[in-house]
Amino acid sequence: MIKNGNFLLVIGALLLFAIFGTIFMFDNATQEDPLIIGFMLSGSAHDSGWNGKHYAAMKSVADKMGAKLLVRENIQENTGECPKVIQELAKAGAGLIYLTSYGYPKEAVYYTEEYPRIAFCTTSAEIITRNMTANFVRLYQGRYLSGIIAGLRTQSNLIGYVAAMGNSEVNRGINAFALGVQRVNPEAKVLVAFTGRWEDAETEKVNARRLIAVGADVLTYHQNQHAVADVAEENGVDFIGYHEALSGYSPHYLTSVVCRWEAYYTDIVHRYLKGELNREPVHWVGIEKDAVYLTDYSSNVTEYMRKNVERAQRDLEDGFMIFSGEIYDNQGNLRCGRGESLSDDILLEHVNWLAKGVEVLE
Amino acid sequence: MNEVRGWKKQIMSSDYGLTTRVAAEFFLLALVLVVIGVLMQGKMNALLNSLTEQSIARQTADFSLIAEERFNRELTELTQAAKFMEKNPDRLESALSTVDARREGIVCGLISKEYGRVMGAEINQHDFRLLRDAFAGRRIVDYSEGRGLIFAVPVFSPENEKNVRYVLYRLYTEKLLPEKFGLAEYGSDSRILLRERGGSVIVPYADFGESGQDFFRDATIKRDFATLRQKLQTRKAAAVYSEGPMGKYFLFGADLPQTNCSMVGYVPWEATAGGISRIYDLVLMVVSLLLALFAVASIYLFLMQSRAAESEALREAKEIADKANRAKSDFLASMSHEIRTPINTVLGMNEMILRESHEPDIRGYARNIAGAGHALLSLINDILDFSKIESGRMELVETNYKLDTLLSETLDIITPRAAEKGLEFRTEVRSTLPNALYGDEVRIRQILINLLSNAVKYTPKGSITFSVSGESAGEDDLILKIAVADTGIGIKEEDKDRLFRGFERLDMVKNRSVEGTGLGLAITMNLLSMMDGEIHVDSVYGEGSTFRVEIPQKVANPDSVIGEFPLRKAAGEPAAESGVYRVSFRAPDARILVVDDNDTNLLVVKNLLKATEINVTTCLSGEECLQMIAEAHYDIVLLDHMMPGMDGIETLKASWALPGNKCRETPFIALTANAVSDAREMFLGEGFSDYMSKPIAPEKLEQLIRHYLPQNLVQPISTEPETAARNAAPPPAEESAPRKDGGYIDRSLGLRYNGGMEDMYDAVLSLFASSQAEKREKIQKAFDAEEWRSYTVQVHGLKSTSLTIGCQELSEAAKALELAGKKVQSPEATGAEKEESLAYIKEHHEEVMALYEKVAKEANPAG
Repeated sequence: MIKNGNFLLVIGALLLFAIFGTIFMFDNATQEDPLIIGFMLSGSAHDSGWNGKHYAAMKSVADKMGAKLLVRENIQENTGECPKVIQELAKAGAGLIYLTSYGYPKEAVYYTEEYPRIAFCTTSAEIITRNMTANFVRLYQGRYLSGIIAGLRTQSNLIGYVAAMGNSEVNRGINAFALGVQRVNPEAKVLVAFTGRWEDAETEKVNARRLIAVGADVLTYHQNQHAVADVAEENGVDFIGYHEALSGYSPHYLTSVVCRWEAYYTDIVHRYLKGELNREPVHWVGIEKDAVYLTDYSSNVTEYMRKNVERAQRDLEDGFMIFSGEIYDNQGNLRCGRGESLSDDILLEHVNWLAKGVEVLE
Repeated sequence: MNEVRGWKKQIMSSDYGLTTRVAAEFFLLALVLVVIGVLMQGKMNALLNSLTEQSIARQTADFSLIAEERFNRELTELTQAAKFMEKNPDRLESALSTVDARREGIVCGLISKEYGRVMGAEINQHDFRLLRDAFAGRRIVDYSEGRGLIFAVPVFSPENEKNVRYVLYRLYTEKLLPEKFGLAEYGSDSRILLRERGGSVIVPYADFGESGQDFFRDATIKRDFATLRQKLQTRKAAAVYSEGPMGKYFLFGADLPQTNCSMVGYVPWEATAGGISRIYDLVLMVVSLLLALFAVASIYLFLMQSRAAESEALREAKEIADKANRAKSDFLASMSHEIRTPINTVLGMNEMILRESHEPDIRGYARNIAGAGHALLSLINDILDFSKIESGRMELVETNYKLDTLLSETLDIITPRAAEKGLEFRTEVRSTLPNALYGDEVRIRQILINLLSNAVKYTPKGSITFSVSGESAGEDDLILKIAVADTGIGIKEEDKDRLFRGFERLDMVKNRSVEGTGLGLAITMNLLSMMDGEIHVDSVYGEGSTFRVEIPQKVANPDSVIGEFPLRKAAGEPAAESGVYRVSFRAPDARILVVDDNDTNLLVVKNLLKATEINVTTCLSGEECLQMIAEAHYDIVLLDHMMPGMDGIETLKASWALPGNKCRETPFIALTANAVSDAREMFLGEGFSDYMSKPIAPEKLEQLIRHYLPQNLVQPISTEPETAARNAAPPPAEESAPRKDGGYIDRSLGLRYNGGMEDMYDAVLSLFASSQAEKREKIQKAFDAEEWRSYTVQVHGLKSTSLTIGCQELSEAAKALELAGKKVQSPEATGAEKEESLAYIKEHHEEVMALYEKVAKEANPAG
């Protein structure tokens, strides 16, 4: 009898525990579907360059949002791997798939119809579908601001620019930079040396030396690596970095134009959750969302220069448009009439010209 | 019984404590349930609110689509105008006028990035931050506090169609907003307004006034709107439950895409969740009722439990009572043994007197002794039968029997008694009755004797009529009908019910001189009911009674008929009554083996059979018996049941397997003092030819021996007193003075147990002395080997023999050892009891053995 009683007491206690447990553990609301983000990279997620940076940013955003991040690394373009990975991610329940590489959308386009409920996000405006749209950063705003520093800093009025190739993106950067230079120093010229490659340290160095040789006293570049910075440092020439904060350089390292990718990805994920991600074919984030900024200035950047940059930045935030008003290209063609402004469309795809004041070092 | 009462008392006394405990437990349970209830309520409210939040959020999303649609309409209108302007750069004015509402509070215009106003109204571009997007080629809706809500679309350059030349806008001043974009009509209970994302109110609901301002200024509302804002970062629409000084509300909101506007609003909790909260009421009600049901069920179960405990107590009480009853039966059984042993001697010795004495006075005394002794025996037998019936151990043993034998045996017992009282005894037996029947002859005789002796007892004068008839109840079935009518005292009507109850005697005062236990009729009725028979009584008080009995019997042979049943003498011959014992037969060539571990018993049997001249051989154990039957043939073997070593049954069984057994055909008759158990049934079942209970009835012994002896050995003799006298042993010659006692042996007691016969007593004494060494050795051996069964049997023997020689001290000491020995073997005894008993034996064994030796020394006539 006593044993029985004890047994019942234990059962009772367990039941009580279960009741309280049920009350406290019972979810208030029907669980929202967990956010699953597919993230496809052409390289390693942990390299020190472009892929690594994007991955780190996306990872930090996903962690903050409590989202599950499915990363697929080293997916080469045009190998048929991309569609497979999309199917795989779709099966795994991904609601948002971010395609980091420029060539992916072409391969993904069929699957955007296959999976109409998945939002695809690209960095290429070439192919837009109902649920696959492009997202860009107005990095050119940073170029413009750094142009102001270069324009004020140059003594020789010759500013060197090592660039990979003359596509719309690179040209947009060069033109914004040149417009920034001209805002403070109409006399100064921007001399561009194209390397033809995104990543070729030797060629980049050769071109940087060439630019120094012809008298450029401030250098900047549009390359994956910072070989140009090294050459400038060696030669005691001021330089402006690109897409990363550099370290271990003398005050010749004036500043660096950097994207804050976390801001970019936060914007994307927020808009995805609000159902707005695919509402416009192309979406830009810029300085107004802190997506672009200049890193800390070196001592070579004077108070005057800083004030100028600050003013320009305020203008930008206030609605000032870099590509507005009368703009001629270096061939003398009017690209933007008086009172006009260039639409985002042009900036994205149709900048096949260089602005007045830009010359190419042959 | 005391135990039972104690138990009940315990139950009663614990009642109060139990009630308190149960009340406390119920209170605790109720408390737990209340806590759970409160938690449940909170949880359910939270759940309902959260579900309502979700559904409101969805509704809000729908509302936001409507607002968006509104905005789109505006933008489409402007876009059409812009397109027209692109195609017709010279007709800007007229295009503008198509979108101009020309209304107070609505302005439109065309602006250029660089020069500002181109035509239409003047605005400050810096007031509307999103205008920059319009200049980048997109359609926008933007709100600026104090300025109003602007809709703007780009107008592209006619030359370079991707360059934005102008922006066409339409601005609604704040005053006009509620009228144009108020959403009040969409919600009946709710209040909706447009708000700059996270900022000020754009389009208030219709009656948005000071109270509305207060509402939005309330700290709780503000805090909850901040939460809503937080939610809207990752949701298209959201709702938040808010409870504060303003009351219970759901706040909701949705951001309108591609604008800096949100649609926010609130709705009273009552309006949305109020209905849902009825679910809570329902659950509360049902759960409360369930709790009540639970309580009732608990009480019911509790009551059932108590009842079960009660019946458990009753069961235990019954068990105790049964145990007591069993103990009573066991006591009766052992008493019977204890009583029968001395009676055995008394009757045996008395029979010797009757056979051998010629003194009329002495014979008279002896006859009285015989009468009293037999009365005592039948008393004990009645008690034993009744205890057997009570414990359900009584069983019928059915055999073929002859009705005429049964009747004449019965009458042989009764007619002398009736004659003694001077009663007329009539017998009427129907001559057509079948004679060979099948049934329990012994029990039927018992019934008849009971009825007839009652009739004799309770009839002071007059007659007794004994009639036997029957009724055929099928081919082989007969209902034997027996009636005993007397002219006795009769039975009062009100006493008839008590007639068949045990231990009841009617008219105790009047009949106190009548001997008996009062069990006779109760036994009779029980036996009848075992045989499916019936008994009826007709009686007139003071005039007489008639007992009618009907017993169904099987007919063994329908051809045999009882015929004319010989009419017996109505009164016995006085000569026979007072006559000296005469042996009925002689069998000088017959050989009988008597086996008993008790020398006294052997002596008695030997003496009783002296007159028949039968050669009586004796031996003291089963083992010895086996030896002897292997060596010589005996015509009958009388075998005692309880013996040390092999007992009677084991000996019988061993004899079957004995090679060279010369007594294979010999009838074995069991002797036993254990009359209480189913001795008869048991012994017949074990293979004995018959059984005799001790004390041995001389007539029965003679009868039995004569029955089982081969008839050619039996020489019936005409009864001549002289013969009997001749055959009788000479009377005790010497009247020697009682020998001086050594202190242990009480000679007078010993003589009493030996019928006062000095020579017999002396023989017993010397036997006791001479067998001492051997027996003591046996006991010692059993003790050393710790064979307690054997040990107990031996000391049991010592107990009775020592009493027979008149040494009470030794007898009692042996009895104590026997009891202890029984305890040690008893399966019912607890371990502690066993150990205690064992300790007792070990402690007292030596002392008793020493005593035994001393007593034996004293008993030795030589010493």
